[in-house]
Amino acid sequence: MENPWFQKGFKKIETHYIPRSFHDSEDVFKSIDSPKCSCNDLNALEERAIAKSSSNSSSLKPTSMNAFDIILLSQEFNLSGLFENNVPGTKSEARFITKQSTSEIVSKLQEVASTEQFQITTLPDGTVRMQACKEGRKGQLAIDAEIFEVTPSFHVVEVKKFAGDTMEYERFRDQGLKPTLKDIVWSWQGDQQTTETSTSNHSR
Amino acid sequence: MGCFNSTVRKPVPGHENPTILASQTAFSVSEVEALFELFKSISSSVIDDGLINKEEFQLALFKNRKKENLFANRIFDLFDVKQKGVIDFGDFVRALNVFHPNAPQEDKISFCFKLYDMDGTGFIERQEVKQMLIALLCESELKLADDTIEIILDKTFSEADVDQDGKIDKSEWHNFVTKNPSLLKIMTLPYLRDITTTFPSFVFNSEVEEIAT
Repeated sequence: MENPWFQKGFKKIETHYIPRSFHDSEDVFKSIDSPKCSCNDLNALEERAIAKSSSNSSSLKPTSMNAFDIILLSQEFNLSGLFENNVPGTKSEARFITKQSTSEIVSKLQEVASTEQFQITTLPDGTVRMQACKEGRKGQLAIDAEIFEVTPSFHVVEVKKFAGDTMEYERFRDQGLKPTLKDIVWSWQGDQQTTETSTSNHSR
Repeated sequence: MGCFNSTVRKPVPGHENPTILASQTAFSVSEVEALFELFKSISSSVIDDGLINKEEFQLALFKNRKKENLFANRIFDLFDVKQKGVIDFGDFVRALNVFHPNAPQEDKISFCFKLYDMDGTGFIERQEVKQMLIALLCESELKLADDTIEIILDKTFSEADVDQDGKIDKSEWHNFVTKNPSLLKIMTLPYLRDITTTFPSFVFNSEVEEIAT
């Protein structure tokens, strides 16, 4: 980018995201390197990428997780607390475990998306991305649900905010996501009501 | 005050020569001095004695001096190489050195092995991993049935425990971690690269500067 050639017409891409699988795609690099690259080109790329990966939901292969991965999930081994001021553990991530299969998890997430009017993309690495169609306080809210397979009948799903306002994310997670997922969630990490027989009454 | 020259510096408790520490580690002299700022704030939080005790360590990690857990205890033990029950500045720097982005992978793999080898037998036994899993799940309030835990352990050990003797030795661990590099993520603290900007107050206390004046 030091070459003035590339600076001509260059617009910093803040609001566009391209699904991870396409980061290495030749198309993307060709467009970005061209000094004539505009946001419109990226828009079109993004739409193509989304369309492509949406049709691949059946090929979703979650990352495998072993006992040590689960141990590390706890963040307790994390020494970064020495350097950070905030209390470790208060992050905008949430995790739940479920006995459902990957495709059942994905279809439940699709149900959430259609109810809340979110656009859904399934990435081949096991992440499901949900993006709000409407603009929020800090742009469109986007949430990632990354699926990890521990055993075929035991999955960990990590839900985190990808873009947008944190409060909107938390509201969506607690009022939109959690109630709909109630049937498939065995346990939420950090949640007091964690048993299957919980009579939590999230009303909508 | 008094008739002393009050600019004579009292030796700060816990302070070790930064030049020596820098020569033994991946840190530069100014980085060691920045680490000393961090060390000072941690080691004075409960008892101001220039040493980090268990409580102060917990306070620094969890912002809660009462929070004890299996892992913090183990990490503390690994930092406390002389087994004195306290961590001095030299221990602190040498242990953090392993977490430096530039530290050799071998050192990280080795430290990580010792971390999981809770009882220090030189092997990571299945029972140890089970204990850690249960402790962790308990703390996270994730409930799992015992047979689910066994299935998870089976799967992990079938991959890691190549000679199927129920425990993971150093070379099995080495191979396992090479295949699953995400397990080493906790062994690198990117903060260490920017330590001098995170703790800029060292600029005013720098020994190097004082010598120059």
